[in-house]
Amino acid sequence: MKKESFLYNIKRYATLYIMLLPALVGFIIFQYIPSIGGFFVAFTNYNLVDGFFKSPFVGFKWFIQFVKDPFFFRLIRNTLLIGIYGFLWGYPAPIILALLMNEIKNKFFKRLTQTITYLPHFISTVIVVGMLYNFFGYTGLVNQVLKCLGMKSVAFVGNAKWFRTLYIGSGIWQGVGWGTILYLATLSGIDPQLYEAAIIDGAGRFKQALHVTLPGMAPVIVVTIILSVSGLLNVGFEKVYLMYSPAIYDVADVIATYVYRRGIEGMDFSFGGAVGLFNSFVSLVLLLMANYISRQVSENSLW
Amino acid sequence: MKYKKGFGSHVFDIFNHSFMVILMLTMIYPFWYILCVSVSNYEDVALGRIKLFPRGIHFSAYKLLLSANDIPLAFKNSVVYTVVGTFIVLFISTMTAYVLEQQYLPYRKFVIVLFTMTMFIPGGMIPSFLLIKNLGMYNTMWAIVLPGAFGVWNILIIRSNIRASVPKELIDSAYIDGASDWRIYFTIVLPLIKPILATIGLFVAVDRWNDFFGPLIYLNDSNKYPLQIILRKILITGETAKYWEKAAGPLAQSRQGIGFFETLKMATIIITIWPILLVYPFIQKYFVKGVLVGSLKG
Repeated sequence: MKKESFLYNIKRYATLYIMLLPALVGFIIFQYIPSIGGFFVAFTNYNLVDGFFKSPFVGFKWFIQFVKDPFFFRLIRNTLLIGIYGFLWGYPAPIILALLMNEIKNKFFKRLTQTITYLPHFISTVIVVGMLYNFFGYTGLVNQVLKCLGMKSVAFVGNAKWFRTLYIGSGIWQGVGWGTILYLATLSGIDPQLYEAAIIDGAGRFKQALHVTLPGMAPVIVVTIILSVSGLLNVGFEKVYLMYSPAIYDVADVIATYVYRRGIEGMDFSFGGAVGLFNSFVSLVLLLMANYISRQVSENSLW
Repeated sequence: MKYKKGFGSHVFDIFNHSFMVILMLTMIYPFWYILCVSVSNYEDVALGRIKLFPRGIHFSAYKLLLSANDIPLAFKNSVVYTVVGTFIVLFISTMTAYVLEQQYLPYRKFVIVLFTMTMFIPGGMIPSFLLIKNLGMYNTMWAIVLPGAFGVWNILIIRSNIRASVPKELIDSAYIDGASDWRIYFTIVLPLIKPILATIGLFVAVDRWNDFFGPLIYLNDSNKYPLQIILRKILITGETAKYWEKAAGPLAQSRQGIGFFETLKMATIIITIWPILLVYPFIQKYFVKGVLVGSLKG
């Protein structure tokens, strides 16, 4: 086959390439430049005049500064604890809910449950945090209920002891229904003959769930675990930012919010950029590790 | 599936159904409660008397919010960012998907790889912020609507949809009749993929409407703030002094004052949330399908 020249091809399919141009330019500007620029920012002394590519090179200066930062351990600890507790509580929740939903035989009731539990997913983080602070405030709904039950009011909001519980609990409230979609789809893909065979062998509903349903979900479960582990350090900026205050920085300040305060509010661009890059790098290492371990202990992995 | 249900199985069913009902209540009741408080009497609100129904229905909190400048302005900004943002995403994604679906096009594979690789490279808050500054987009609408417009997921989903719902013969015969790519794209492809456009459009619109990160980082002119930013000020950081003085001033220390403050917050939530609740029934018709296409492609 003859290979046509580049210019010939471009001319021949000019219209198609013109249609492709906006996306091509957009991907380069808004995806490639920030990620390549991210490396330059972190390893240079960034200033607005010289920009991404001409600022003076300083090596690992910012990374070393971060490791020596008085807040370094606190940031890593807070980020990891939110990530790990969030994983321990939040990861199984949609799987359990999907298993329970799967046992509902009435189609209408099942559909209703799905429709309603998916709803909070579409509510913005600002509203979720606003609702949280209102319902769990000192005079809020939850404390009114506690009072009715004869218990003492609890200061949930702005309380370092309750921060993680509120953060993770509201996260589950918002995401548990939506999280079932993937698992329910997997469940509907399990061969019904397997259930019939199990029934003939005398398995009850619990045994069917244990020996047919769970093994059917195993591959998806492995994939979602790997992805969750790599996200342990990627505690979302938005929600922490909306929920925290200087009074509870001790438990609530995470890497992402520190990047924001130092990098954007404090205009310490290179330092903030280096901390952000450090975070991405650790996440990548976690992903590779989770994938490696999963390949060793089971035959499932991402690649 | 027919088999004899044992006693344990019945107990489980009762437990399971009750659990689901309670779960649904925890997700529906908060919204109902917010609506009730937003239209109730201040004193009843302050005393925590609102449980299942509003008391002494009135809309003064809404009137107050809508007569002040910032909420209507923020609402308008949110609508503009949502409409423009959604339009850009749909236009670019469909056009790109159409081009990338033309199997004979040279360099097509290279472009697909170039786009797909962006899923694995980190962006980061600081470089994105600096980019927007350098592009001169800081404090403009473009900083809100453009950065999120270039996602590979939507392109892949739309592309597989074009493959499934636009017959190849139709495009070929249009070519033979002398139609240009623009014409084919606008008059043949777009009408045939309307359902997926509606689905993706609704998802993107909800995302844009709820966006808080973009406006927080890229805007600092209060005339350009969307609702989510104003919402944070009223709900979380409690910057309500303005309203406080205007309507509750002398009442501020009284029960009514406290109730007023609550009612105002809840009314702000309702103002922000109703467009979402309005489109939700339409989304929910599509969402399982839409999300599944996404996950299967992955």
